[in-house]
Amino acid sequence: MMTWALKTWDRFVAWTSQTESPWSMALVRVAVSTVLLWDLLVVGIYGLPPILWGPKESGGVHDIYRFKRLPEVYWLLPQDVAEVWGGMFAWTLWAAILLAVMCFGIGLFTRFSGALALLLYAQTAIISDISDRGIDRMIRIVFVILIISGSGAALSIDSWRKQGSFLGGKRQILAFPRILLVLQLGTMYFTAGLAKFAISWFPWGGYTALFLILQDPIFAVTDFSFLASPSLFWTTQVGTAVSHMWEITFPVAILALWYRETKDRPGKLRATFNRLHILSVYVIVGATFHIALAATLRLGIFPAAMLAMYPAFYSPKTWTKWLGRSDPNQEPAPSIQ
Amino acid sequence: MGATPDAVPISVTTLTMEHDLPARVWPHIRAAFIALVVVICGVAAAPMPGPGARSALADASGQRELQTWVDLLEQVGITATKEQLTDVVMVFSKGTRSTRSTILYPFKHLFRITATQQGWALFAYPDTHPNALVIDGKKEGSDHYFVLYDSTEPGLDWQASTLQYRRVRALYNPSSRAAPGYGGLASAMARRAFADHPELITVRFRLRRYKTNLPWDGGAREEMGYRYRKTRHRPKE
Repeated sequence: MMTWALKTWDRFVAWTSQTESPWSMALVRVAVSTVLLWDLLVVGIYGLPPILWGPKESGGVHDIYRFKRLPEVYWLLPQDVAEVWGGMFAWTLWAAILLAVMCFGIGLFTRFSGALALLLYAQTAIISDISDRGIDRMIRIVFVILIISGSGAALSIDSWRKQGSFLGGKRQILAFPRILLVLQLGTMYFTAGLAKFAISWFPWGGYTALFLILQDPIFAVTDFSFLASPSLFWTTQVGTAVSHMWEITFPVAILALWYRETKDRPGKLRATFNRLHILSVYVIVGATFHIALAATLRLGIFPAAMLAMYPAFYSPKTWTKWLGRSDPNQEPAPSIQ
Repeated sequence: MGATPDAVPISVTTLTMEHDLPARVWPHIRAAFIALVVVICGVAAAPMPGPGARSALADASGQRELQTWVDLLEQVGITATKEQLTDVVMVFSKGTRSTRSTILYPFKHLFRITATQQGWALFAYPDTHPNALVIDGKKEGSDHYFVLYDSTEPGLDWQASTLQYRRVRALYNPSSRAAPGYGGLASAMARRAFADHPELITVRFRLRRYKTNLPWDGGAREEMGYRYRKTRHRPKE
């Protein structure tokens, strides 16, 4: 038993020590940063920083100085000057996040700018918890993974400075962060599926969830009352059933990813999964699901930000093949840790 | 993985002082750290049955949900009232939440400072009684309000982009009570309304409530009146 446990541990250690090209993680870094930059620009264009993140004294919605614990950035702004400087302070916070996310996206001092963006972005969540949504938390979790992964080794100014090419050179990064990212996506989808306790998500509740959501004027992009027609209502039932099933069976996609990553190993189930491209089926259904959400509901950056994380589903080898570049993995390379 | 091995970590079964220990031990520390992260995140993300507060089951959507479960249980021979079902749900809900909080206690500051808490509930309880935001204003000497924004009327779209933006929407979309920041948002939008419409002396901010009927109940959306009314007056010069 002890020997088995030690051998299993050794296999796990060997697995977490494997390296790959940074392409997949670099693509996620660029895509997620771009989506977040867009969202931050929208905040600026609508003039929202003082309202969302400013103190009440200068027109903000939250009475920040009465919080049980003052947000750390507000240590820099004493309450007695908040009325005069609060708005400017909120704009400065917004500009600092924007700059840090931009630097992270283009890969300039990638780890430092990523960490700064993460901590400042987290402050906005502490200031206005209610206006910080699930997708913001997801982006911050992905930022953590991207920071530890060495995603700045490709598609970055850092790679241009250190390796002489914006696209990256022969450097490799550890492979486990990409798998962690996919596990995080899987965790989100799977637990979101399990958390759907409302009867409207189940057959005995008539699979009415999607119909109900589409009737909510706060979320729906238009009046979807026509979906009550018997000739159309069934489409919302199919949508409810498929999206719920897709979420609660997401561990199958994680298994499919594992089988694809270890396709050289034996096993009939592994071969079947790879032959039927099960992972790609999940990815295509997921992408369709997010595009449909974007077309019907006002969910802000949620669909785009989730899709921006999808490059992690595929190995750098696949990406370099699709993008018509030679695979750096085929050549010996120094690793970054 | 289709990947190449890093500096090959030595097996724990053959680890001796003859090896370059720091370089060889590091992969084990890293692997242990990864395992810990996966476990902690798994616990943090585990969905909690039922809502965290009894009040969440007290509103119309919660009551409708409970009634459906009561009816369903009755069909399989289990008789329970809505109150009894609420008690069971709350005992189970509080117990699991408390266990999770205990396990995650050592990491709570890390989760807070990075705002990376797990816990994903995307439309877990679709709202059977949704709301629409309505903002209207009154001119000096007039008894009538005129509508500036109504999310159900395409033409009444003052500040529509801002009000429909996800972070702002969260400030007025209620759960079982008005959203925190609702009053503050009413004040902020009133200031904008007074600036855009110098003739206004009063701005009103409220939610029109609906009941969504399912197709077999008629299918139409029923208006249920207004709630969370906030009125703001133009400050005196």
